[in-house]
Amino acid sequence: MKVTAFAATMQAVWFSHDLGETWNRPKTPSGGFYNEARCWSVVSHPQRPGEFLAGTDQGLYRWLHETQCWNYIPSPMDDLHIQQLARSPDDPSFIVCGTRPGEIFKSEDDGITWQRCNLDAATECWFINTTRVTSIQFDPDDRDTIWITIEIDGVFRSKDRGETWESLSAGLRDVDTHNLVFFGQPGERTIFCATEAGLHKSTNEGQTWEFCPTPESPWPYLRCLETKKDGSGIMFASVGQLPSGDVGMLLRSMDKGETWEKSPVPEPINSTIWWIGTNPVDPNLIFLCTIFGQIFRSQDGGESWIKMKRELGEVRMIGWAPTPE
Amino acid sequence: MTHYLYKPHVHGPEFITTPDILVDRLFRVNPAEQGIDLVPASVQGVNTLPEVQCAESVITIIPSVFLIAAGAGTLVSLGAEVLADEGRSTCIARFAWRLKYLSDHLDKIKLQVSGGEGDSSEVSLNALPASADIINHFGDGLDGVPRGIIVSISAPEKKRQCQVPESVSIRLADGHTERTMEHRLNLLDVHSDCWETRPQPRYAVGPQTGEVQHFV
Repeated sequence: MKVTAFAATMQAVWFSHDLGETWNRPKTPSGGFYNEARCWSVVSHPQRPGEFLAGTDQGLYRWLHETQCWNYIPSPMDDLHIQQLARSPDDPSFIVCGTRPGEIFKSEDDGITWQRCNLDAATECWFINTTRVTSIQFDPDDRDTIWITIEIDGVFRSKDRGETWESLSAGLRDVDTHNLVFFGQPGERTIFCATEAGLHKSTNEGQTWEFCPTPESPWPYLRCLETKKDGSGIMFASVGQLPSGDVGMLLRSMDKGETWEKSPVPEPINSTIWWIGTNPVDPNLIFLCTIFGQIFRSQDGGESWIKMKRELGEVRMIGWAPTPE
Repeated sequence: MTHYLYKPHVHGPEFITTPDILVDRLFRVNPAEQGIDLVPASVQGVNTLPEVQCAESVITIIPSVFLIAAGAGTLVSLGAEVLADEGRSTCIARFAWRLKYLSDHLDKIKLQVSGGEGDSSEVSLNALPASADIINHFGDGLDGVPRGIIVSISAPEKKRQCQVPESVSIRLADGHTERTMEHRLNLLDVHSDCWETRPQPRYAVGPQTGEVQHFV
């Protein structure tokens, strides 16, 4: 299987076609954004092989494998920072974007028309001044339900495809929230939430959260959560000393978050591990990026890791998808 | 659906914060015999640019105070409604104060205007048309302006007739905290170019040194 890896960076989107060994940016005259465009998010969809959406500081863009170029998608978000993107697992035409400032926009017709959702998130926050959406998840058990995390205003959920939202932050030690993962069957599942002040879990669909100690980490700052995409219950959590910091760590849990161990990611890790890129097509292929540009790869489901030679400045998201034949 | 992304520098009692605030509803206040009359208007004329292009030789500027919804409470900024035959602009400063720290001394905060012709006397915030009613209109007292809303409270008796080009200064002076906030509007005549000549394009597609496959 050929693979296209992608990295959303503060210098546009980079692609790799050799499992992260080398990386390149598309030609500038390909109709897309400029080489220094700030890109926070890239998503693929299994029903749209070879297609990626990118959220940038100058709007939303679509990459097509056939044309090998980025195409601008008109939207009301041109002057915002599109920091997160998600597409409904059942319907790639249903696109949800999270921005800075902390707003949610949705399109149910593949980006032709857009609706700003009525989200009651804070419009200001201390320390970073302006809130931003840090993750968007379609609920794995109910595709009309959408979960988001906001830095800094906690967890929100919509049960009606983004029409209405409710804040679900009771019990969080800190509402500087970054990511969520889901385990278990409906009615008895556990949701984990990464925050600036550590890991939390909820066993009542986010109504309340409780702190989960991770003593293996010397720092409480959790950033990304991800499961190994094979249903095994293996979960990864990225941590760092600070929002950027100068050191990072990857934790792994083999028992759905009950206990944790340090993953053997080669050191030194130069900053917080910002994103964990997986794809159910091959659960064993996983990429990591640190916010300050390091890239790591595992081809055995996280048992071992190697550092890629290439570094990419400031990276906010990494992932991969099969390359169309 | 449209919006204006307002990026104020909010000067609080201790810190300056810089939230980006998405506003999508603008209301202008009409004084009414009873209560207030909030008239919806387009946000597409809202801007924070310090320069205004004018097609007419004389335009009217109405000094205004703005209430802006923000997550940590209503913001107060200033600027002007700029009236011309070709349209109306709502010009807002990128500076703001928090209403919660002003509300106990509105009478000591003066709106001042210089430039153009008109009444030059200052006016207290609490003397603006229905200002107290407007603030209370939004429910939860002083901080209740709902998300995404901006309210323009004009001082029509302080309007200025301005000969273009001209510079007009609108200021808020807080006699209690001894702070000031200013928005200066430079009115530019569209009939005169800022350059004597404009460079013509020298390339068909721009300079090119050779084929570039990609950037690594």
